[in-house]
Amino acid sequence: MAETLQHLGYGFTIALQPINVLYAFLGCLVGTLIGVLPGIGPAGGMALLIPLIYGKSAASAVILLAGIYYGAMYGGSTTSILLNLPGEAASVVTTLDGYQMAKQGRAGPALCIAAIGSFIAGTLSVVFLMFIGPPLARFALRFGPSESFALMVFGLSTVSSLAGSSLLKGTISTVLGLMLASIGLDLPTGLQRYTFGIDKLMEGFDIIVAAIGLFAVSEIFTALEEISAGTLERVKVSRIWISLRDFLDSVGAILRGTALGFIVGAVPGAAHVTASFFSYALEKRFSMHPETFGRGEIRGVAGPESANNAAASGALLPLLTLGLPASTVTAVLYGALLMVGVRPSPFLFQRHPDVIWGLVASMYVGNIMLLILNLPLVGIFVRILSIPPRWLLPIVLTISFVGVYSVHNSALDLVLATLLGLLGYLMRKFNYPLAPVILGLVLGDLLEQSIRQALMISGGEIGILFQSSISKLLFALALVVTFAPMILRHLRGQEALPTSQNGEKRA
Amino acid sequence: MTKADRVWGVVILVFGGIYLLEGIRIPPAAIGDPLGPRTFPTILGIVMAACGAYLILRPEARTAPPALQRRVFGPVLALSVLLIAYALSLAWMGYPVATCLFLLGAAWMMGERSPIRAGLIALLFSVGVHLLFTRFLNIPLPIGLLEHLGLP
Repeated sequence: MAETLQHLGYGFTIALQPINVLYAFLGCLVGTLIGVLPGIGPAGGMALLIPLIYGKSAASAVILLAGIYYGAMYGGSTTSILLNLPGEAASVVTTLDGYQMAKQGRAGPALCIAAIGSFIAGTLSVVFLMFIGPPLARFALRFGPSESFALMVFGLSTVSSLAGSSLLKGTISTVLGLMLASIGLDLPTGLQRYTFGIDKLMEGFDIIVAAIGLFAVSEIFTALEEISAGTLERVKVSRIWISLRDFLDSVGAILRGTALGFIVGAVPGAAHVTASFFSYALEKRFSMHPETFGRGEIRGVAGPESANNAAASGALLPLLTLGLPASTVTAVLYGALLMVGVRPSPFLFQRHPDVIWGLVASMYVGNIMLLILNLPLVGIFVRILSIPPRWLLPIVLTISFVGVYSVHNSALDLVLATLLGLLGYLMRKFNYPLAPVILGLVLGDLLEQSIRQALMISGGEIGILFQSSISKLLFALALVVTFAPMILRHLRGQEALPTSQNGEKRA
Repeated sequence: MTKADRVWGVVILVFGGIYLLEGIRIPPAAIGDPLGPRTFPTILGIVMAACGAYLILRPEARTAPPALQRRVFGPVLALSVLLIAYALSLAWMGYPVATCLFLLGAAWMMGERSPIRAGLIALLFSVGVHLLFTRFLNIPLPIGLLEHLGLP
């Protein structure tokens, strides 16, 4: 404990050097911009900006890149809330309640709680990283294929909380997402599946293309329809700052989201997208008023946004403590570390204390910077909504398209996004929920690969899936999440029924 | 909603069936891989088709049918065509030119009627975003037709 604090003090002497404060600020600024721009996610953004770290000291380079990373995680929520346009895949969940809040004129509070939640999650998870990091990293490494499979099944079970009115339509949406995930090269065999001879499809279906198409493009089609019919309502912004009550309502969700996100983030492969979906399901399941979710519930913004940011720190854990990159973002960071002459290994803390403790300390600095940077921006961002729709909507389309295009330089991605936009427009019209498609697309690959790997290890013996206590627990949780609403409704129904029949309260 | 659900049930059933048939055609190549590349798509195809069949047999009759009128759907289709044209022309026209034209078209479609204001906004915005990406973020975008003008 005392030793850790001493190291942290040393870290601050590095992070607070003026040049490193400047790099942290630059990283946060560029990261926020990348997060706000739809299409370019944290991993892509960091990879694109790697040239910036040439010739800088190892500590400065890492501080700059990490700033971009959590800056992008902060910024991703902005367009989700204002325009129903997920800046990166993890923000898809934020659109569910955030955009509804914006429609009710509460975009300001939604943006504020996203920034505050991200700040609390970011700060607390650095504390977690320092104190419970190493044991948690070892725990996360116990996630073999069968545990990953159990986690993915648990992930799929959260669909029931995203599905809206009809579980059948939610299932159809999820299966569609899983089908999109099966497009591309099958890694174990090298066979092409559902590519129809189109080379570009071999890399698989990009989540960002699906998120932009299904959410942003279809949103604009819906708005266009309302313009043509003359029924488009302009959003009136009622207040910019968050009220104390909103904040107090959200604190629980923020803390739960932080803990959950940090753990899920540390699990290899699960990534922050899953963390935000889990947090949303958790908040809705254990809420006293689950029916408010999807209609502008502030907890539905606070929880996932916090989980998303905590997961970003959690994902650093395997890299820093064991030298293993466990997600795309940390793989980019791994490459960057190699470039500046730091070899990630389990001995990173001993061999390069300046880099690691400088990074940890800079995360505190960066989080404070992001809060200071983001809260005043809320007022400016909210004003975006007062741009006339006839200009706002086309501009949103071009910005989403440039984001999608810059990832692969592929016109095909843009055509796919348009077609998915039409599909999403129809799905909205006929009450098919859109978020499960993204969930299926995110989980699909890992779901299939993990069960195949598990069965390869066991030689086809299905029992391997249920051997460890971790997977048993996760399967049990999946059952609870799926059936809890039915049981709860049953119990409440029995209590409510006599009341309504007799017209008086039962003693 | 009942009729709409039936129609969509048929679409989903057919889609699931096609996906399933295409999945069965994947070679079973599975040395030491008990499930192989085929099992997962097969299951997905069956589940999708089953959902479609269920929807035909037991359509939900809860919400009012949405109006999908031609008057409303026309602009949506027109905007999709414009978007696809924008996507396909991006590489040879270059980002600034294609974006400027797209913005003019889309804004006109959405009710902008002042040519001077439209031209000014479209021009400033497309050049601005181009500079933001290529100069500030170092992300390359196609320059296309403007290359011949010898611009930096």
